[in-house]
Amino acid sequence: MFLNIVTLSFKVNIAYRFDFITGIISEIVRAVARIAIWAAVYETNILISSAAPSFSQMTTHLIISGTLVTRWEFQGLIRSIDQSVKSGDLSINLLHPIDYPIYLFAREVGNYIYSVAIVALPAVLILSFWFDFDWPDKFSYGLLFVAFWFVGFTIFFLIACLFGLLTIWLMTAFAIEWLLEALMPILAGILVPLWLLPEPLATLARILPFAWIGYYPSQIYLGRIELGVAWILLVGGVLWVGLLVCWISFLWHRATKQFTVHGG
Amino acid sequence: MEFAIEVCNVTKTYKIANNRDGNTGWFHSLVKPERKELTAVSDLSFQVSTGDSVGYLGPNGAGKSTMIKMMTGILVPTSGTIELRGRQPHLHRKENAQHIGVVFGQRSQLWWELPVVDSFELHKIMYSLSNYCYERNKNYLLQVLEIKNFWNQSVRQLSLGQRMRAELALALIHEPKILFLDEPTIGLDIEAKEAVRKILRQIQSERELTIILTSHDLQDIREICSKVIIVNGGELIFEGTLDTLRAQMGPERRLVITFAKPTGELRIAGTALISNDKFEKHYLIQDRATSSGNILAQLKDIDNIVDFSVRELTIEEIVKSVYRNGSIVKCS
Ligand SMILES: Nc1ncnc2c1ncn2[C@@H]1O[C@H](COP(=O)(O)OP(=O)(O)O)[C@@H](O)[C@H]1O
Ligand SMILES: [Mg+2]
Repeated sequence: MFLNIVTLSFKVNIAYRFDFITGIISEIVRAVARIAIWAAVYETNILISSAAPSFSQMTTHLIISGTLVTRWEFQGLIRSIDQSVKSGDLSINLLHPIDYPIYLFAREVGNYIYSVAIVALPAVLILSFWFDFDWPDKFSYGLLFVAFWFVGFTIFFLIACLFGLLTIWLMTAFAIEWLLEALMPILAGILVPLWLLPEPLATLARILPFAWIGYYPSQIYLGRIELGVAWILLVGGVLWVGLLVCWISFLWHRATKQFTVHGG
Repeated sequence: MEFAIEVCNVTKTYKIANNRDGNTGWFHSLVKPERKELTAVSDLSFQVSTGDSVGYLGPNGAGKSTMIKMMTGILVPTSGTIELRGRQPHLHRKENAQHIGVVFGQRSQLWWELPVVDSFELHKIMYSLSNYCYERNKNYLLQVLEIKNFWNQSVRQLSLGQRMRAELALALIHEPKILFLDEPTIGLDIEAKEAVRKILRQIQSERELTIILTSHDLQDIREICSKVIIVNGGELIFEGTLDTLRAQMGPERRLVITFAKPTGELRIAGTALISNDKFEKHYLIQDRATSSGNILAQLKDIDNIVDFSVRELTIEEIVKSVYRNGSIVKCS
């Protein structure tokens, strides 16, 4: 059932979304802007140290973390949770023989696969011809990258879902969207890699789940993390998934209770 | 007799924020919101037999939607019990989902921005319908509900009547045993209302289906339902067959006359004047003996009548009439 919903959601995107050309162009523009900033920084030679990545590694990091793995419009999820809460449709969703959060996950996986396959991958391909772009050196890192990618998206979805559920008690969907839009690029180390952040922010960001969304996948892709550490990080990511799932189940339980007992 | 639904002494109270008046009221309600209890359904009991079609009639705010939500399991009664095919609906939501179909007239279950067909594809997946079962039901519903022409059209482009037909089909695609309809004709024009009623009659006769339908329009119930429950202010004021209701209400209809010039009190034999405006007067036709011909004969000699019509009673008048005509029937 889960995979069928993913497939349907993907098919629906293919059938009715015609904005993929503009999507590809805007992804390229954004990536070029990010790369241009770092090109200027590298010209000044500030970063010359043994730990600093080469410029091509930095470009690859920007493309992988900014363009490829985070290419998901989480606003859609937050808005649909918010809408169904405000309009009272949340109760209607309880009438189906499937858990609403699971349905949402399946639907968003479909949307994400579409975004990656139709928008992000072409953009990455074009960017890889344009700039110095590194392909994975070792097969093992390539495989690990796929695992991190998968865990990273799951965490991304869960964080958005958590923020979406918070709209029930906290504030408007807009405020939540802005907050997430502001936090994501910094804490996921997309524009500024985490090792450049000042302490203690850097350490904090390494522990928070956002790092698994963008930073760790791209570092794994580049082979900049030792295999032993990579496995520990992967387990850490899975633990975050578990923790977020627990948290969301708890909030979801509270939300359904609020709706079924107090009527909204 | 097996009951599809048993409702036993059910009460539902909502806690609502009670905004205080005055300039500082908003401040108080922010700091310490005052809560007030509102009883939407009050100690209600009734049974619905399998295969019955029950009309749940009542004015706005009578607690109809609240009752439907409790019967479908998305609202928990404050006290009392509800059993749907022997199980409490809010404890068995997912299992019950396969057996019930629900249409809320004021809410849509269709995917708003997508063609009708996609919502059905999604339901097919969510309800784990086999291809065979899905195709058979789809073909039947497409034909009965006349959906074929807009099957591939996006939902937001549909007229209200078309949308309601699509909602009905969606609620029936998984062959539910019980169909809940909360004001399915609300906002529809007369023609669309008629279409929905006709379809429901047909489906009811062709399938072994229990229907619970709420409305504030007696016409809906007259055409679709064999049994009537009337509620007012959360309380049950009538339960019985349509014939019993008719007998209890008397053949009441309302005569409305519009005048060209200001006109004083005017009596018409066999009717009671209930609203005496200079230009528009309302009469209640209570007497069985008063035929339309009789009234026409009396109106014939009055000049300056612009228009006249005989109307169905509104739900508020039906409620009044049930109260007036004696015993409130409460079966247990
Ligand atoms: N979620 C809710 N919270 C608070 N009060 C509600 C809620 N839903 C309905 N009510 C109140 O309960 C009463 C019955 O409402 P409802 O069941 O919607 O009536 P109907 O469907 O017959 O119009 C109304 O006074 C309404 O304002
Ligand atoms: Mg209602």
